[in-house]
Amino acid sequence: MGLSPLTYPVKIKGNYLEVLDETALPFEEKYLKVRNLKEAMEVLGSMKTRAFGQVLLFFYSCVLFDDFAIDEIVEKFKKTRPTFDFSLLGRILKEETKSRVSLKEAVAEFVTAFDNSRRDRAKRLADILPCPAKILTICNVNAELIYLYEELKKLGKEAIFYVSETRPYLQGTRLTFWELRRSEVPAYLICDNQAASLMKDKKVNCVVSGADRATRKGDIVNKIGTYSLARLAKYFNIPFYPLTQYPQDIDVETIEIEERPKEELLMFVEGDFDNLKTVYPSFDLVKREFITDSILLVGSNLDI
Amino acid sequence: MKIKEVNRLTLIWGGLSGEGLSYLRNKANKNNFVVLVPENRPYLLGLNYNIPLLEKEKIALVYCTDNMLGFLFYKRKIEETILFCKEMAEREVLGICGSLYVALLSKLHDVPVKVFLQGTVDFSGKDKDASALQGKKMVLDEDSEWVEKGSDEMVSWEVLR
Repeated sequence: MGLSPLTYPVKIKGNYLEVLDETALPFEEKYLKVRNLKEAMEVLGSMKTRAFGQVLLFFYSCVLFDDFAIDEIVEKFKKTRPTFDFSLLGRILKEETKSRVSLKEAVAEFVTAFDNSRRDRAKRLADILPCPAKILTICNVNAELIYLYEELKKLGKEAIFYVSETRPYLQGTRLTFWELRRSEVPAYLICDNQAASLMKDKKVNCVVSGADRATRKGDIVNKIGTYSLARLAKYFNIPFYPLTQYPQDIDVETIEIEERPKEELLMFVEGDFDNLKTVYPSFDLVKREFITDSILLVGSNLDI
Repeated sequence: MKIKEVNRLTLIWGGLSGEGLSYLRNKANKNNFVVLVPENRPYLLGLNYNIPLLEKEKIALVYCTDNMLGFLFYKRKIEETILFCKEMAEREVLGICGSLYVALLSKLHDVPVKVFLQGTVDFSGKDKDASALQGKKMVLDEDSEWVEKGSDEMVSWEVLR
């Protein structure tokens, strides 16, 4: 099974960064050159990259654009994407550099270790999923579902994915469904609102999602639509497993929920919407009571 | 609009009917409320059918995608749900794709649901599943067979009451 381009969507190439333009997928695999922090903020703000991509973008920006201090870079990233915890990434990076020769070396080691931990996390999740695993998922977790499928197959467990399209940005359709199908993983695409019907008809028997933020109490923040899946899963007695990392000792209600512009809400539809009023919260809160078990990244339960 | 600016929402699901519009018109005369119009995938009935009808009646509305409903329920922004269904029977109703999702989220957040028969909606030419948006393909041709059709859904009265 080949490596998904979403495994490492941002790479360091000499004196610039190469960023996979996720907005062009699935029809075009296009890479953007990022030569300075301003360009990094542009690709982040326009969601050319997100999730693990924004983690890599942050780390590599700290390595390449060293005319800015780590704390300055943290502030710029936070201003652009307020829900994700870039302060935490800054603290991790400072911690890592304490015992390393260079920032570049520290980042390289961290990235490799992080991906190994994601494989390990997929293995632990595969152990507890039912056989056959009929998995409902949302948004995109950068190739980790491919790792999960590989681990399920090693255990002799049949698996099928149902991918929620994840409106309005369609990360489910354009990223997850695409990366699973290009790896020939059995995966069906559904409208976000079909989740309840699938659960009722027993077409799915577990829900797996990512988590942009996690708290020590076990609450999470993730892509909009996750709360509905967790709530409905609980109603149908279906387990819900978010993939989490770096839980923080904070109250989930204090996390700022990013609200994106109307133009993005309507980006894939045509019409005259000048006078249309819209809302676009881009993340959901999911409380511990709706979570069966958080599958935590090993080594990420730290006091940083 | 920001989430903090929206309150007292009446969520509609399915194609508005004359009876439903009349209900909303009367409600608008008595109460201060806003109609929450989700897009209603795959057909986009919210955008292409319900919004023009509400705008014609000058009824205040706000638009969102279907997966944002959970967050709005969680934040206690939704006061009432109106489900427009295709058929009503003794034990259940038949609604468009997503009707069960909306009915259950309403129930789980103690939001009352009112049921009307749907208006006459022409579904020809509308998207049939998640592979397209307004006819524009969102998946590769070779993956088209791996897309679940957007089917009508049964919702029992037990869920709606």
